[in-house]
Order: sequence, then structure tokens, then C-alpha cells
Amino acid sequence: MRTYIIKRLLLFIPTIIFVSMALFAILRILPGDVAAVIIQAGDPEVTITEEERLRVTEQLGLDKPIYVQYFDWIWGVLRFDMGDSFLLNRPVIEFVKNQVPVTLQVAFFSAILVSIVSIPIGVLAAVYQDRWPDYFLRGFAIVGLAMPSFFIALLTVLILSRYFHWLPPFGFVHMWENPWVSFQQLIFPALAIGFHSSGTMMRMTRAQMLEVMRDDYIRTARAKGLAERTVIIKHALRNALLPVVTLFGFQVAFLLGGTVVIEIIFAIPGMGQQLIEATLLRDFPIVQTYVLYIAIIAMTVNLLVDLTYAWLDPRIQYS
Amino acid sequence: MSSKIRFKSLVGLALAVGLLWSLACSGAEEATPTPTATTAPAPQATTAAPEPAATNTPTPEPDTSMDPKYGGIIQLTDTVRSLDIGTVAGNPGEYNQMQGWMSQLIRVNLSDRKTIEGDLAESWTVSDDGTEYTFKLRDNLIDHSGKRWTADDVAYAVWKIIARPVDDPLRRILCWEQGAAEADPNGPAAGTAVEITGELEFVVRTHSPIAWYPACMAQHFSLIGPGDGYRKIVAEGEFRELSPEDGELIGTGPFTVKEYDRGSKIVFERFDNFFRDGLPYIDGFEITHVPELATKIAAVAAGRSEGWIYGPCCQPNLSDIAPLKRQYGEEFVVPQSFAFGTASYIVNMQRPPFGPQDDPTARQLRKAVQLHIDRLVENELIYEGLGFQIFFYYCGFDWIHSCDEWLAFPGHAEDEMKKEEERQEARDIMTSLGYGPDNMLEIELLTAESGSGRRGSELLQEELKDMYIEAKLRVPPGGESVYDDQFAGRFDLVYDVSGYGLEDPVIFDQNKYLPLEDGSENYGRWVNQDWMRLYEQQLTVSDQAERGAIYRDMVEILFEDLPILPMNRFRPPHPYMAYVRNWTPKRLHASSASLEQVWLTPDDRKPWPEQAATDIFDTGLYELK
Repeated sequence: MRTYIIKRLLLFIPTIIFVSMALFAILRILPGDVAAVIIQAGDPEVTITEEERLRVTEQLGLDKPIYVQYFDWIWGVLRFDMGDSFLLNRPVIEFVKNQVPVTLQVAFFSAILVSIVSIPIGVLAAVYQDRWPDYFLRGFAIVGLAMPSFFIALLTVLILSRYFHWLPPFGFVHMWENPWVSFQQLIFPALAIGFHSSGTMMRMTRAQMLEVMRDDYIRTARAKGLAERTVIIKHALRNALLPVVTLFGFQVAFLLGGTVVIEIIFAIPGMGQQLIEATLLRDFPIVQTYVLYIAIIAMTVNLLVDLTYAWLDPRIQYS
Repeated sequence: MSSKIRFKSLVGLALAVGLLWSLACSGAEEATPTPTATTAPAPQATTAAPEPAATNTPTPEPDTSMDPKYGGIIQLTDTVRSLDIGTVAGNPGEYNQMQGWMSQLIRVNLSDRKTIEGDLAESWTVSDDGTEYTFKLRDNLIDHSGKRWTADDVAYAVWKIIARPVDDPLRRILCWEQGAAEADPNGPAAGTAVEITGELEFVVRTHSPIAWYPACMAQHFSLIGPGDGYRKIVAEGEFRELSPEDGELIGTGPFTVKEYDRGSKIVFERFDNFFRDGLPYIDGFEITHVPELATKIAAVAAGRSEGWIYGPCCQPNLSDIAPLKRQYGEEFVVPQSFAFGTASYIVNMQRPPFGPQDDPTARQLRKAVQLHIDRLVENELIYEGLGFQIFFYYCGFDWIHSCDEWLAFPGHAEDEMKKEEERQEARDIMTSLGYGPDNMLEIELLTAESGSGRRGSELLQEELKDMYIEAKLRVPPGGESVYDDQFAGRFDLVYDVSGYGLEDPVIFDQNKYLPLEDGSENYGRWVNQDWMRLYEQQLTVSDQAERGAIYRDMVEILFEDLPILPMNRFRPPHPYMAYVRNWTPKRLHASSASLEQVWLTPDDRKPWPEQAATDIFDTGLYELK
């Protein structure tokens, strides 16, 4: 197992290098000029002279060959120096320290919500196949799949404010500082992000459960006189979960990406707002750093998912 | 049987989750933090602040006809990105934050929004040759750390504004950049642009006389930060923002920065040693970072904020905010504010039919279009009646022409009969030039793909048909900017709108009438030597009456040549800080978004007459459904 983990961790290196190179190249290919953004400072009516543009470009180091820029950046990353934001003139690491934990907490909460909602209702739908609970829960899943997260978020904000004259408290309080306020702040964003994923996960759980429930060993378990609860949870669900867990790994990356827009709607000071603004305004150091973080987190989650297989199915062994 | 039990337990789990959600909604701890008017650290109430005896500009006292309600905290939403003037230059709303803790040397009067009054400066004088401004500071300037400010602190801050890096956005603020005789990064010293001449006195020298220099220094960009903080930055050798984290936000403004969390929240607290006695009225204000407009509106509906500050991203329609008016009734005010700037069609003088500039036929055609355009119709159809006519200059500069005088110029008639006469005259001109229903003049009308410019252009297109002009819309493909076509002169008319921060007619000159090479938007390439001579002349004239006379001559030339066709400027109900509940805003204007003289009136609301008159929902222009 240890060898497997080390191998997987070593595999992170080429993956991260590839991601960083692709990311770096894509950002430079995008049309738009950060020098112009800085000079105009949000006022598109300002005329830019070529001399000004060159001066700012040089100051930002964007006049160097792209491979030099890349190595400068990656060398900085290795030393935990992500550079300074082009637009805000502050070290990117400051934003990372403040914003990434917030986003992770939202995504984590959302992932928990997805798990505790989608798996039970998936099981329920399978157990009551083609009866009203199944129809109802499948309908719920389809609604989740059909509605994008930002729409659910906007709808939530509108309904809460217009009909209940209430909104979650603005800002962000960590769970360990004030769990109740933190819960209020997290529950609705997590719902909005997780609704879509819940639909996917629920359908996958249901499909897997239906397949497993028809297997011979389930019939054997019932014939042995085991309680239905034991049959479903211990025998059927455990085996059905393998592909669900794989899907969950993918969904975590989706949830992280989903927070980007949701944070703006719920005014949560995570990395989402910063990432969107930085992308639109071509603030490369911030975009590069955040996307790299998301990639590392996604890879780590997938590693954990792979390790979970062994726990779920003792036949799987890593060596 | 047992599967039913499992079903029940699973349903129970789902219900438990649902219960938790509903509990989250209940918001027990702070349902709706509406502003609570406290009994207040009652300042010396209505004793007016000692106003400076500024040259030529008697400073009106704060309005004492109302009884302000002291105390209370105002909750607002906006973006909280930076406390650096250069960084927030693109979002005037964020000046609320800047003006909370900083002061200006001189400023636009918060009551009349026209005259200039001293802020840190008690008074100022201009030398006879118009190149030296001597500022005398108040002697009660205490900053937020308790330090008394002298000329040394203020002059240094002024100096650092002048000496900001050349690529800094603030360099655009011409009064500092162009006005400075030199920009020595080592700071103020004798013989350079800023010279300290006494404990509370310093002199700013300019290259040459600049008539609009005070107006420029009074605009909201020109904020005076902490001299000590700037010195520290200079000592470090590299430009950076003042650091909230290191407690460098030390100003002399009406509020101190109590808490600053970039991208999340900023909290201001009343500064008890503010140099204007009795101000501010409120205990403080808090701005939460909320970039999404729907959330800003929702926050007011939910009682989480009293209003929001207009940002560059998004403007709500009246129908979006009407539910708030229904919810709060008289408590909720949507003031119609003055948005300073211009809106017009630029005429291309580089090619027929509207050029060459001195060609008699082109001149006649320009005159005909100017006469024919119905600006009232544009106002009704495009701006729901909320716009106002802009002329070659804003009619608020009544030392040039009063609004009534402007309306008497050809093409601007508001009287229907008079307008019809003008339209007939326009058709007669066209007929005399050989055009008619069967022989339409074809022109290219450049417009963006969407927005009010597009809608206005389509309206103009219809109007021009009536005077035998077939205007073909030229729309850059794929949502591209019209800039390239404008710059290359690929148009006959193009709609153009600009907002200005400087309250002086020279800003119109610099943006519209100076040659393109001077950085203006004179895409029609209009050039008139007589006008240029007068422009140069007025720059050096300090006396307003004398300057007004020169400007009147410039206006005559503009009406003769018609380089642009002035239209309506939207008077939005929401610039800067316009949606407010429970507190009384001063008349709103970009020149100052300070909350210094704002007070809360949750219990005993007595809105200002101006305010009541300017509530969009009270004007009858919009029907609240």
C-alpha cells in the first residue's frame, strides 16, 4: 500500500507539470491585454499609448519569452512565492491563505451534503423501484440535473429575501469559530452547488443498487434469513458504492469549480470571486495559482478515492 | 415490513436534514439588523462647523433646518477591493470607502454640489499670474492616530499624489500630473512644485496658469492620505498601497477604519476628533463585499443592508427595485441623481456628407440634422423620461449660459410648436439641397451591438427618414467595440457617451473638442483655430465672469461648426449610493460620496424637500405596479 501511495504521489509531479504548462500557455493565448486593463483602470474611455503599454508590459515581465516567464513562475511556486497580483500589487500567497480555506470549507460542506442526501435517496429509489417514492426521487434528481448551480443559487437568494425577508449572514465565519453562523452561511451555497451533483450521484447509486440487488449473493443473503437492512446496507450498498465513490471523486472537482460562481451570489469571500475577476482582467499570477491549487486538490481527492476502494472491497489490493 | 422500517428511517434522515435547513433559515441570532438609532454620542448638534473663508467661494453652512438623528450604523453593500485611489479609480462607488477615512484639500460643497469649499484647507489664494496656489490649513487637524497635522504632512501627501508612478492610473488625474511644475520623488522642497511656507501653509506651483485647477483639486479623486505612510513607502523604494494590515490607513476623515478585510468587509467608526464640529452624525458604516446585483437587492429586502452603492457592473431596472419600494414604502428612497458627463453623436468631418468641415453643403446638412433631432423624444423613449439635455457644455455652468439660454439655441427647443418649426426648417434645407422622399441622402450610423447607444441610434435612424436621410447602421461584428471604426473614421455619425469626474467645462474640451492627438475623443477630427485660440485663452483666466465670456464665444463657434450633436444624458436613479432605506442622503453626486453629513431617520423621518422631489417613485414617471 505504501509503495502504491508513493508511486501515486510521484505521478503527481508530471501531472502538475503538464497542468501548469497547459494553464500557462492557455492564459497567454487568450485575447486581451492586462497592460491595457491596468492603464485604463476600469475606464474603457481612456486612450492607451503604445509607449505606456510597452512600459507596463515590461514592468510585469510579460515582454520576456514565454518559456522564461514559465520557469520564473514555476521556480517561484517551488519556493512558495506565487508572485504578485498584477492588478492589486499584493502577493498572491496572501489571497491564497485567506480565500482557499473558505472555498475548501464550502466545497467540503457541499460534498458532505451531496453524500448524505444522494446515497440514501438513491438506495431508497432502488428499494422502491417503480413505485411512488422512486418516481418522486427520480424526478428530484432530474430537476437537480436540469438546473445549473448558479440558477439554483439565484433562486434561493430571491426566495429567501422576497418571501422570508431573510438572507444568510454575509462574510464568512469558520466552523470552529461559530458553528451556528457558519452553518447558516454554508448550508444554502452548499445546497445550490450540491443539488446538481446530488442528482448525478443519486441516479448512479440507484442504478448500481438495482444491478447488485439482482445478484445471486443478495438472494443467498435473503435466503439465509438476514434482516433486510443488513442485506441492503451491508451486502448490496457496499458493493454498489464502488462506482459511486469514483463518481464522487470527479464531483469534488466539479464542486470546487461550482463554488466560483456561487461564492459571488452568496457574497462568500472565497477564491471564486477573485478567480473570476482575475480571469476576466487577465491577472495571470492569481489564475495560475488558483487553478494549480484546484488541480492538486482534485488529484489528492482522486487518490483518496482510489484508496477507499480497498476499504470498500477487500479483494482490491494495492501493491 | 423491515424494508418499510428502513424506508421510515431514511425518510427520517431526510427530514432531519430538512429541519436543519429550515433552522438555518430562521436566523435566530440576528434577524434583520436594521439600523438602530442610538441615543448617540450627541455631538454639538447644530452648531455649524467653522467653514473656511475660501477665496471667491462663500461656504454654505450645513443644512440645519432638519433635526438630524444621531448615532446608528449604516450597512451598505459594494465591492471591497482596495483602499488605493488608483486601484479603485474605475469605480466611483468605492470612493465612499476612501472618503470615509480621508479628507480632501478642497472639495465640492456637499450641500449645493456646485461651489468649492475648503476641506483640510481653511482658505486658499491664487497668485496674480495664476501659477501659485497658497493653501492655509485649519489648525485643528488631528489624524486618527491622534497626531496633529501640519503643512508638512499635507504637503507631503499632495506631493506623493503628484509623484505617483507614471504607469499608475491616477496619473490621469490631470490636476496633479499636468499641473505640477516638477515631480521630484524626494518630496516637497523649496523651489519645486510644492513648497512649505509655514506651519500651516504651503504653496503649489503649476507650469502655467490653469483656470480649472481648483475644480480639479476639488474632485473626489484628490484625497489626502497620510504623509507618514507615504514616507514609509518611499523609504522602502517600491510603490505599494497603504497597508490596512499594518495600520497605515491613518487619515483625517470623519470615520476611522476599524476593520478591513479585503474582498469581504470594511467597517468604519465615527472619529470623535474630526475637524468639523458635530460631524459625522452617524456612529459608523459598514460595507460588505457583494458583487452581485441580485444579492445587493436581496440584502435590502432581507434587512441585511440599508442600500447599496452603484458599481460599474450593473444597473438595475426600476422594475427590479420596485418590490423594495412596495416592501418599505416611504422608508425606501430612490433618489434621481445627477450623472455628470456628456452624450452626443460625433459628426465625421473627414468625409462627405458631413465634411469637409468648411464645405457649405456639409455645413447645411449638419445644421439640418441638429435642428431636426427631437431630444425630448429620445428622452421619453430611451430613458423613460429620466434623461436631461446636454448641450456643448453642461447647463449647470450658468456662468457660461443658463439652462434656459441653452434651450434657446437651435435644435434644443422643448416647446412642441417651436420644435415642429425647427423640423420643418430642417426639411426645407434638405429640399433646397436636392433631397426628398425619392432621393434620400445615405449615411453610415456607427453603433454598438446593444445598449442605450444602439437603441438611440435606431431611434435616430427612424427620425432621419423624416428629413430624407437613410441612415444605415454599421455594427461591428461579434460584439466588438466601435473604437476601431471610430478611430479610423469609418462612420458619418457615431453615438458617444462619457461620464466625467471634473466639474469644469474644460473636461468637455479635453474629451470632445481638442485634437485627437491630445488624447481627446474627437473622432470626427474637427479642428477650428479660432476655437483653439479661445480655449488656450480661457485656461489662463481665473476670473469666472471673464472666463464665461470667452466660453460664450467658444459656444458660438461650436454651434456654427457642429462637431457633435448633443443629446440626452441619462440621469440615473442609482449612481454612487442611491438606494437607501432609513437614512437621509445628501443630494448625490460623483464629486463626493462622503457620508459625513448623513443621518439616520428610522423613527422620525423628515426627508429633505430635494430628496422627496427626486425620489424616482414620486415623480410620476414610473408607475409602481
